Amino acid sequence: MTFPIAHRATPAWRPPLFLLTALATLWPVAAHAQTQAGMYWAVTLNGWLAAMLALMATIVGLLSSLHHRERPANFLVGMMLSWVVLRATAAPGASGLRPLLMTLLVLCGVQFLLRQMNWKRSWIDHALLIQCLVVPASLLLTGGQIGMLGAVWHAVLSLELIAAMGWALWLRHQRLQATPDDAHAREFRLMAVLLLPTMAALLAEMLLAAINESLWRTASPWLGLMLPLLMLALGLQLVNHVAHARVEAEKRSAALEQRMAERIAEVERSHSQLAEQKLEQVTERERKRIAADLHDDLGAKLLTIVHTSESDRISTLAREALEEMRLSVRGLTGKPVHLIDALGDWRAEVVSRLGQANILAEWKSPAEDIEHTFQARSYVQTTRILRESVSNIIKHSGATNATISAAFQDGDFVLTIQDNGQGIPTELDGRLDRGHGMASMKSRAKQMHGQCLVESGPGWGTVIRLTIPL
Amino acid sequence: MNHILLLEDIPEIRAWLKALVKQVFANAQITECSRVQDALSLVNGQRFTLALLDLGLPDGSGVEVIAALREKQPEVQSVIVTIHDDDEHLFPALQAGAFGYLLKEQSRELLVEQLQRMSQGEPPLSPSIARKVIAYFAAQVKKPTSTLLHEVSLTDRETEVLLRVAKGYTLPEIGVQLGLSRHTIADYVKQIYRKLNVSSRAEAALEAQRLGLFGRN
Repeated sequence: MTFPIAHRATPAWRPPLFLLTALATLWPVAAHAQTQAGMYWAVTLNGWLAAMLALMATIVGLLSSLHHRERPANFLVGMMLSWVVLRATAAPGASGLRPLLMTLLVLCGVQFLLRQMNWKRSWIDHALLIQCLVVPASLLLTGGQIGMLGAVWHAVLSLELIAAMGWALWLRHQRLQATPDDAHAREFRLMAVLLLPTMAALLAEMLLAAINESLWRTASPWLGLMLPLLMLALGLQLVNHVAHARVEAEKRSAALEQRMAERIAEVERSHSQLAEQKLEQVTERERKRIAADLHDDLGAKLLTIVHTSESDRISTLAREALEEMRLSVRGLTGKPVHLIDALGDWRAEVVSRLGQANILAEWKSPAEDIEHTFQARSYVQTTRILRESVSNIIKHSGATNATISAAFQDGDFVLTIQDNGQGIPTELDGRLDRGHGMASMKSRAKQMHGQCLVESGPGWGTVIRLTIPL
Repeated sequence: MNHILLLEDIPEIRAWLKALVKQVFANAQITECSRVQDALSLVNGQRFTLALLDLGLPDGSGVEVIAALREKQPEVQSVIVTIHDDDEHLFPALQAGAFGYLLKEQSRELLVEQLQRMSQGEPPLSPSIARKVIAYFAAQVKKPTSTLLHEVSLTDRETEVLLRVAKGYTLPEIGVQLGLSRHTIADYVKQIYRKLNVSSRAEAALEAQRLGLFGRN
């Protein structure tokens, strides 16, 4: 580092540190031969770095002015500009400004390193500001005889920077301990790689200046490259950080949009669900109202016919019409019926009706638990077919025995109703079924995508086989 | 002597029912009415032995009369005579304390037989009502504790009878299957109806207590 105060300090003021002369003597003699060429390259590199830093300072300045969260970067800009201007004031005429620029550089460096970690202390702020006044003022008071005071200030300022770097690293280490995650670990490693060599370079320059002036003159331009390189790296890191933050923000906004779209879809879904529910409720209420109206009005009238008609035939018709009305009302909407429940209902009705007609009934249904359900419509249709079949047995067959069996075959529900009666006379079968209702039974089976087969012959009874896909 | 209350709003049906009742209970005194309000005031003033009650009436439901009878004349057998054959109408009536129900469109012979059976203490029970009763008591068991509920839970035998009714077996068939007399099976069914009523009243009382109708202790 080319701290010009130290540069101007006379070697006499430097306390010899013999312990470290060993290190100095290790420097190869060959290096001295190449000093002139080395100096040239060091100066050239310094120039390049100054140009790059000026550019970087502009970029970082723009970034920090746009991003409020990157405020501490203003100190990095200050640090860079101080260094660039410091380089420019290498000419002897402008040397009066150099102490001020250096203290500014240290102020900005310390503040940047600490504020990056959100570490703020007002006494440090004040001390750094006072230092900006005290250092140039004290040097001015010496009236050109900067000498030892210059060397002391140089050392103090260097140590301040080193301490700030060390503290920044320590704070990062603490944060990593508290919240170990990949991003923090990566940042800690990067900062360690950047800061430790710079700290070493600053220390080495101080020590070399103290123990071996010629070696110091050779090494100083090279060691002095470390600080601007660090600033460049920090600037790049900042730019990189902002770019990453932007990518993150875009990802977040995409995720947010996605979440928003999901929420909207969810709201729409629940809204349509609600509407559906409401519709169901309204439908159910309407169904109940229609059912009640039908029962109270049509039902009451049919009932009056049932119980007042002189004709058996008319009262039977009215009773059947009443049953039909009820089934229709119930079939309008309706939940699926568990087949096991349906079998229970059917059994009770069939067995008691046949029993009343003095026909011996045998009911066979699967013994194991049945999980199947029936559409309400299918339940109603099957009930009608079964009822019709039983009515036929009671009214027309003259049977003494009837067997009804329910079974499952290849995904179908099969209901077989068999009697030992006289069968259906052939001339009535199909053409003129005279109240046997075979045609309506068949069409009902068809509505359920099933079929209803009737086998009958005079003298050997009737078998009705109803097959419905489940 | 039997004193029978007959609540029915359609005159033809009332006349028909009256004739039917006369056939079963030859010497009975029959008091007719066509409105819930009339029935309620009759219940206040006179003693009955049997009540035949319609559900859907112009000024309300026969269930109100069942509840009133349950309170003032608990020995009266309330029987629902209705055109509604669905559980939504029958179950609340049974919970209110009805002893049984008759469907109006059934043949005269069947109604007479059922009425006779009821008078001998054999109430009807359909598979769908049996399923409802099973589900009702199963739900009661899961509910928070009530000192009354222990008394009104079903016994294993009662549950067994209900399960068989639900499967479509007739009461005489169940009697044969369980090796019990027809009379004993009928007693089980009566007991089930009684528990249904007690349980629903206990439930109503608990609900009233919860709502603070009886004040807080």
